[in-house]
Amino acid sequence: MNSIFSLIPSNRGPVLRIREQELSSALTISLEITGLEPLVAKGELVAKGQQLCVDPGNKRPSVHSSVSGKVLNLKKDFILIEEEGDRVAEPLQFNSSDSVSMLSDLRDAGIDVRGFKQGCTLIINAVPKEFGIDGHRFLIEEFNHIMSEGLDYLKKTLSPIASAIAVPRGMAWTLPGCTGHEIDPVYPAGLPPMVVKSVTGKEMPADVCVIDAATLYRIGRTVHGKQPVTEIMVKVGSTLFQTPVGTTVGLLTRKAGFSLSDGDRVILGGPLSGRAVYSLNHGISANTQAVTVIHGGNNPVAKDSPCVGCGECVLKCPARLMPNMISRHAEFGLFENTQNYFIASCFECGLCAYWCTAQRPILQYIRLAKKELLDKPILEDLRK
Amino acid sequence: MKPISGSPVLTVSSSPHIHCGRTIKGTSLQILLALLPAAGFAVWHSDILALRVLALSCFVAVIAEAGCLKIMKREIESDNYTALLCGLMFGFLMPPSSPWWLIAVGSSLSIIIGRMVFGGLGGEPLCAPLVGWAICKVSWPELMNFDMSMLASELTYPLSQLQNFGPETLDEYSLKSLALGFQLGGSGAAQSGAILLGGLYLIGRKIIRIDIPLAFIGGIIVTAAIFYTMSPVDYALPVYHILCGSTLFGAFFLATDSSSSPVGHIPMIAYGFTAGILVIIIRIYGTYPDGVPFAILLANLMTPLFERIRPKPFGGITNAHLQR
Repeated sequence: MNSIFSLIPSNRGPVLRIREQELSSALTISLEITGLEPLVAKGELVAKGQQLCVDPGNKRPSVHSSVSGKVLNLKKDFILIEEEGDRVAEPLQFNSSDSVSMLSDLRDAGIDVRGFKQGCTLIINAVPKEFGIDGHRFLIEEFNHIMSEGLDYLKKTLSPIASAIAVPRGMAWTLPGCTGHEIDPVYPAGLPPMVVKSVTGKEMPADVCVIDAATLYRIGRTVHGKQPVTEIMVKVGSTLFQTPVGTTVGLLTRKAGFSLSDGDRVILGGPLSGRAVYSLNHGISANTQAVTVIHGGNNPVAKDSPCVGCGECVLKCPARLMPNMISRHAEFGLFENTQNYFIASCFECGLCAYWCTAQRPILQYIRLAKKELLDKPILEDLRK
Repeated sequence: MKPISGSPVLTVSSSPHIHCGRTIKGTSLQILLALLPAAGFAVWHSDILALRVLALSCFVAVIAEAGCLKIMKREIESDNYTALLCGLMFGFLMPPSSPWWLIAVGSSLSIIIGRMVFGGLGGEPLCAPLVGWAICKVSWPELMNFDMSMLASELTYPLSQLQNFGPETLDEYSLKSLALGFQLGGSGAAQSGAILLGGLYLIGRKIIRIDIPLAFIGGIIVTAAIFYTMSPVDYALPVYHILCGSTLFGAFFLATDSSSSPVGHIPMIAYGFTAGILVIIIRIYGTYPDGVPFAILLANLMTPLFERIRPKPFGGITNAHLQR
């Protein structure tokens, strides 16, 4: 089998602490705040754990400073903070008793609570999302009590009808109060819709909520320490780092031994579903689990070539769709037609574009069509 | 582009960021490689006559494609070797003694009518080489008749012997000589053994899926066996149907043509099986001794129907989860 599809967690190596690696100079962190409303101004002194930004729509989690420092720069999308001093923010209060304010407490502490539903089946996803994204192995094995604390809080908040933990086959990972489910460690089995299917036997049921193990750890750590989580585990290449949120990918890749040159790609997440950053000064966010580096020449992965109809995407699609037909329609702006090919069932695993003989950007076309079908079309003129 | 604050200029893309590395060019090169042994056998059996047919056919196909792309004001894409492959496959179907103009007309029509009028590579509703073949077969039947056009050869055409004189005439062909290509037929298509070798190579390299060839041969065996058990005196053994004519060439190379064959396991099996059944029906009831090309063309026409056999999508036939 192709090794990039293997989800078997690798053996645990040492954990490198970025703080111990960078003692000589002050750490500069960069926090992404796209669409959030900043609460601080340039030049202001901030404490570790201080809330920096909130979502005016009260949907997305707020962002906290992971160091005590001074705001160097405040841009539309980023806050730059240089480490300085030793201030720590006031502890958070978790006194609420009703579930709505418990969830908003979590959101204010920087946890993404979108998709959390009352009375759902709670599934803790401990299967690596992609090859090599297995930093949570350390968390499950060393900080099981923290995770159970997070689970207890979630159970109080959501009162789920059942809780389960999905682990890769062969791993003896358990969590008190959760039934265990072993999952074949082959991509895309670690993606939430596939995990839900293996655990519940149903495809895309409405009353299921999937939380990945790293997020559960962050919930547990937040509730336990009454502070937003400022240090996370990030896998860079094959090195596991413990690092403050906002550490730049440039520093992480350098410490992991990568030397980058023009044309390389740095990706938050894995190569099949991650997000490429445009600058080495991009900081990792609280839910980043891995940074992948792809060395590349000038040739793009995808080409503007016609579909030759080989059918590989159809045979490889875990959602049993016809990505060839969806991409053919989306290519010419016929976005409504893609609904006849059940575009909504796509959960964006990326296998279609990975296997495409014609190197077509199939998943990119699918995303474009989805975007166009949702509330905010970006290519209104192409539709006409 | 100016580097930003001394850092390297990163490439940005949206996921997936990697590709398996398989390309159209690589695939056509592999298929060309798989056809080489059969081409060698064809040249050997026809005393170099076939070389002329194959070379001319390839040349005309590439020129025709480039010309069409030029007229369509599109980028010339001869370097993906698909036109070369189409020309070679057309040459494989033609008698080695064909006059040059027949090859030129057929090969260019394969590209023009078979492919370019439908928008080029990927648009073919029918297997392109078969379109050119069918036009030649219907327009110049005597030139396309292997018995009449290959009078100089010592070899005979087993399928017309079968059609005209009954199955006992097939006893004079040993299976080994049929596999080695000691039979009349399309220049390369009649080299059953070499074609089988190339087909198995393609399956081994995962260039083609096994579904269509297996179902095609299965359809032939099942149908021929039914006829044979009904009356062994009137109908030939299934193995002769496999080794005679262009059956194996059709199974591994023509029926698997990517854009004219359906996608999905069940549609592929249904398509191959239908084509296999049609081959035997045409060979037994039709006027054409070798039913393979027409059987595949008919099955190609049914491809959209087969493609309607689809499993339910993940999460059921609803687009409700688009909003979630």
